[in-house]
Amino acid sequence: MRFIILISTIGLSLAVPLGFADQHAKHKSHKSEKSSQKAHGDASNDGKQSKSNHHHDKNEEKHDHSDQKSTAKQISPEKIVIKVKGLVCAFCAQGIEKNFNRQEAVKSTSVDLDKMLVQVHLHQGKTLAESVIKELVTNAGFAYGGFVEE
Amino acid sequence: MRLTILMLAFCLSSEVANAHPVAFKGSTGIMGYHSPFLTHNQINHSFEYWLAAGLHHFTRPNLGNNKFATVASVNILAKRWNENNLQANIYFNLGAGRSELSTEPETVGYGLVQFDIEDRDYYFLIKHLQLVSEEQLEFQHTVIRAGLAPYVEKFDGIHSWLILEFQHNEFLESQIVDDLTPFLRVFYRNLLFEIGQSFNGFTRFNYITHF
Repeated sequence: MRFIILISTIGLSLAVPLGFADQHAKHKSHKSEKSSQKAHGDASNDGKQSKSNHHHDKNEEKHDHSDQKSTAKQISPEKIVIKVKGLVCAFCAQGIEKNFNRQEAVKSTSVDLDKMLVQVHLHQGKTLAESVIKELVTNAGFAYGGFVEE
Repeated sequence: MRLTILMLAFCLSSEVANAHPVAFKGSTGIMGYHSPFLTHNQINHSFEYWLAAGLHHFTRPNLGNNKFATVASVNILAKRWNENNLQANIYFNLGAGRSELSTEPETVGYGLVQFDIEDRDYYFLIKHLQLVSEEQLEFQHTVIRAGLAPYVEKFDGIHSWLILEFQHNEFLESQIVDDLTPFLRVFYRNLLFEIGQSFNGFTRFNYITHF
């Protein structure tokens, strides 16, 4: 009984500041990311949308240009390349392949352990929001490191 | 057919699994460890990447079929470090069940603490597991293992590791087994096997899969 109480106490005291704090912070950043995406008309996720946001006043135009630039760098219509931190074990990385392949927009996924990259091939005309990509990587147990230009 | 093979593998194998007690969200993992004096089978389902529920079955084959324990657990990934070239984890399992591993059937609490760290070349794990009844420590089990990958393979290849494992097992009746075992670990995609022969002469076989 004493052991259970002791383990519970240790578990809770470590889990709250460590794991769950991380989780909470991730959730927060996820939320803020979502809201910033909304504000930008999800520009970073859909090239077409970012083009339609292009016709505004000059200040906004500048902003949209930078978005468009990053869109061009980050997403090609058929292939997305993502940096994934912690991707060191092929056995554990099965989840990332599985999670992505479950997505309707995804044609196939390949994992490069040497470069810690995941290549996601999309069906023609399909896109995958960055927030979804980030969530898929997180749910597989890894850390999303952003898009990579190949 | 797939399920039948997996269930068969589960029945044939066993483990105090030296793997992650929590895997990717929505996954189910089956693990088994087998030695002549202890087997531990477990099945875990991960509801989140940091939370899983587990069901464990322990037996002591050298003492016959009536020495066993069945435990349900909650598995928590308390902390994970995802770095550029490595991953490290701290896990806790807490649970309860029935045990007659050492005495008459009684309610027991189950606890596990595990730390592991690995990159593509090296691997280290330490864990401690206990089954505790209201009055006594039924069973405790400590594992320390270090591994080395003789070659670095691509994602889809056949991976292998050379692992040296130290185990300390202590049962209620003070039967203590300290053992050092070199293992060969081989895995392909989501199927992993380990086989080893300890310096005390015990043959060990471990098996892990998740889907």
